[in-house]
Amino acid sequence: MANYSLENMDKFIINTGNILSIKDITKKPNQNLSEELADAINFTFKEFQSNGTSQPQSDQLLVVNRHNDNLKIDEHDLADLKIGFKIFLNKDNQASLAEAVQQALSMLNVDGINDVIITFKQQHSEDKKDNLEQIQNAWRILESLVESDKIKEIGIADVEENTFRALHQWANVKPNIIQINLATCCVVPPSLQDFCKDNDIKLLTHSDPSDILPKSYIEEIFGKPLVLKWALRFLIHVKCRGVLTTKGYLLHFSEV
Amino acid sequence: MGLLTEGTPLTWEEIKKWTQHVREHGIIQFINMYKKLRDREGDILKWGDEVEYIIVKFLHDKNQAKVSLRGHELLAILNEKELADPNGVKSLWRPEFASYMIEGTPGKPYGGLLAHFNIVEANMRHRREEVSQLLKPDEVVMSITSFPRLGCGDFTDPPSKPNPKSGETRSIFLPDETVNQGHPRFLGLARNIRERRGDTPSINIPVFRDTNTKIPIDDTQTYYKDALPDHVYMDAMGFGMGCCCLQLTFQACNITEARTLYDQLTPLCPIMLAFSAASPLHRGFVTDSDCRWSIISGSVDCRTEEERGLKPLRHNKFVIKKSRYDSIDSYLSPQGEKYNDIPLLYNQEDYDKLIDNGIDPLLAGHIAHLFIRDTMSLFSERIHQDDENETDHFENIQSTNWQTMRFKPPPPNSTIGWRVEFRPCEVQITDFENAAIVCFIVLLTRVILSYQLNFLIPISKVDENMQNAQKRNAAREQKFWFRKDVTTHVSPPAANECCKTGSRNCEEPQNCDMFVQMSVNEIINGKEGEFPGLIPLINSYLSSMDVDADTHCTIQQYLKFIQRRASGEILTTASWIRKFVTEHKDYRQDSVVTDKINYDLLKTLNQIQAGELHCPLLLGTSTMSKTNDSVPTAFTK
Repeated sequence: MANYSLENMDKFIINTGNILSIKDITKKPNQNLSEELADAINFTFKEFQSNGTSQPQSDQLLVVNRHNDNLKIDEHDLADLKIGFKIFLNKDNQASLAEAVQQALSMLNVDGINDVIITFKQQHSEDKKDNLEQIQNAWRILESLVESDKIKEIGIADVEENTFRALHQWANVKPNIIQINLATCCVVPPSLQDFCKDNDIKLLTHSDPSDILPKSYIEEIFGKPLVLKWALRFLIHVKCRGVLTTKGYLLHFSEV
Repeated sequence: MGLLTEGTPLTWEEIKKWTQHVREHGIIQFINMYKKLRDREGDILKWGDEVEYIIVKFLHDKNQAKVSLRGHELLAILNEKELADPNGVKSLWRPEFASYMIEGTPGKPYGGLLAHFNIVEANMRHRREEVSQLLKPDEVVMSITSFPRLGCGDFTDPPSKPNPKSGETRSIFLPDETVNQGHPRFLGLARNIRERRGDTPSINIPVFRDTNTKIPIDDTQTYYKDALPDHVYMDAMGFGMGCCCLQLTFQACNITEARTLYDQLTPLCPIMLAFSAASPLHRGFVTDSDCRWSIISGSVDCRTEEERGLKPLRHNKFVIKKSRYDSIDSYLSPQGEKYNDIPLLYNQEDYDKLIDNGIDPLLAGHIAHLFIRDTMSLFSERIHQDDENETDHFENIQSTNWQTMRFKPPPPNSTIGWRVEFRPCEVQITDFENAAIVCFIVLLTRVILSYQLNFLIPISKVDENMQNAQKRNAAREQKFWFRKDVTTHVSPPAANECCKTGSRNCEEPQNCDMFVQMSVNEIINGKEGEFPGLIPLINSYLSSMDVDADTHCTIQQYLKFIQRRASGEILTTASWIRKFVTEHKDYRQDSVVTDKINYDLLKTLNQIQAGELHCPLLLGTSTMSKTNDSVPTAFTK
């Protein structure tokens, strides 16, 4: 049994697999995203270490995953499923975005998915202004993924209305989705409502914190400071039935 | 309330000759349907609600409120639109048992998008508005579960009188005119049930004993020897079937999912009955019960004295424990099988025929059990049927087994799939409340399927819960059996053993700690460290779904309302009505709901419904949803 000591792991991806099958997480629906992620990471690590896992090639990134995980994709006709990603980016890193999508597609073993929503971690409370240039850099990657038929719809979360309008105007591939925090869903500015309505944009809600896994959580889980380069949530629904079949996370950690 | 065939209704004497015929052919019709439809797959979620209403007439100069017997007249007008444009109308209208009632459903079923949750309330409003436009100045349409002074002398408009000697219902309280005469089925049903039973229905509901309550409460005992002195006695089908309920039906993707949802929602029936309790007043009295359920159950109880175990069996085959309106007797899914711990009665030949045709024991038992009931309504034109293509006899028995849940096969030659109907809820005063309950249940079905939750407990425990659910203030004070760990499907061997041997052995906590007693609050809102709670589970599910902002805002309002009502922060409809009556200046602590109290109560409820009166004690503070007439186009592309 290969035993991975955290001390000599400086770069790795955690794939929680389908956390709907982790009963201990289902039993705690009141947890916030950070608590849920901490549980999922710990559970994944435990299962990973208790199973014999071969050492990855030296040039490959270690992927910590759960054995016998059921993604439930095979139980349905792919055409009946709606697969969506939300990608939590740490900073302006186009490579991260491309890597996240690529890792997730190959993990799910699908050629393309329905939608991707991106969001940027707000670094400090004082720089709340959206960075349009940063968004545009990421958007170019998304556009190329749409053009190569890997994604059908693209969107962004937690941006100001003006930023969203500017992005919409600038983009070659227009955003189909804007995601806002659930706390504000009853007080959406009418101008944004109208803009979405006029442009057939889905105005969706989320309940994710801006920093999905604060430093304190990372240190508690790993016993040392690591950087979460990016995180990706994958969600699979059965179309027109309102049934969620799969929910999980890919998280890329590296040394500070 | 079920099958409405046109034609010439038969009397019970005539029907008797055909009961075996209906049973045999009904079973064959089910077998034929099953063979054609068992492999039907891939149906999407479609669902719809049914709201029943009472037309109330106010006589403001006299401080009186009466039931207006114009249901049939209004229905004729409402149905004109549907006839002219069957696919374009926003609502559908159906007759109900009482001539003061009417039932409305959405014109088309809602679909599988979350955005559909945002059009439910708007559609309910539209329905109410549609009826309101046809009403006379002093009439209103109200979604109230029971009319408080039903059967109290002069309570109908136009006035009518009971006819206990020769009427069809033979009630000393309810005139035949209160039964919908627009369709011959209804009076025929009332008469046939009474004739099969051998007597008028006998319903005793305990009176709420206040400081000045007189016992006996009235002189009913001089007419009926089985009337209990401290109970409100009711003697007609109309007392039950004249109550309104809130029901919903949804389509499953295949028969397996339908059986799963039928089972999983069964333990929720008593919880939702207690939660939605809305009918503490009957026949002019405050009672000690909060719900209509036992009353309807007794009102259509067609069992003979032999079948009720009062006389030795001579003419009948079985002693039957429940009325044909009652909670279900068996689960249908393989996981449910081990919790089927009450005896399931059926005719062996019916069961064998179903088994011989490839139907599994669980479903065969369920169908055969439905068929222990005789048909109560038969039309001469419809006796001889083409069993390959017609299903009247099956539908006849299916639709007059009024149980907490209904398992519905697809109608022949239609695009409709296997469906499940959820039937326990009492109807609420406002569209907001009704929409909230409907959305809560449909969301819960999605959560059950997504997380593969398991709510199953022995069916005897569900029955015990049904009785407790109806008690005064049950939503706040009663404890209900509920599954402790809803995430497990594999149960400990000891618990399995105990469930097989019957619930009485389950008192030993070490054997059966898989189900515990919880309050409605704990079940819905959760109990720290012990039970996650239905609302937190729904919220967790929603955080993983694509929900548009308006819909999510609406759903949040609904869920908050449900949380508050479950926690006791705001009152159930029943508790609110009780409070209104017992605090009314004319109330004499004698359990009597006078004409004036009735008038003020209904007037106030109508003002609350119309939004003219703010009532945080009943509804909470935020009742403004973002409900809309249609789904945004971005979601329907």
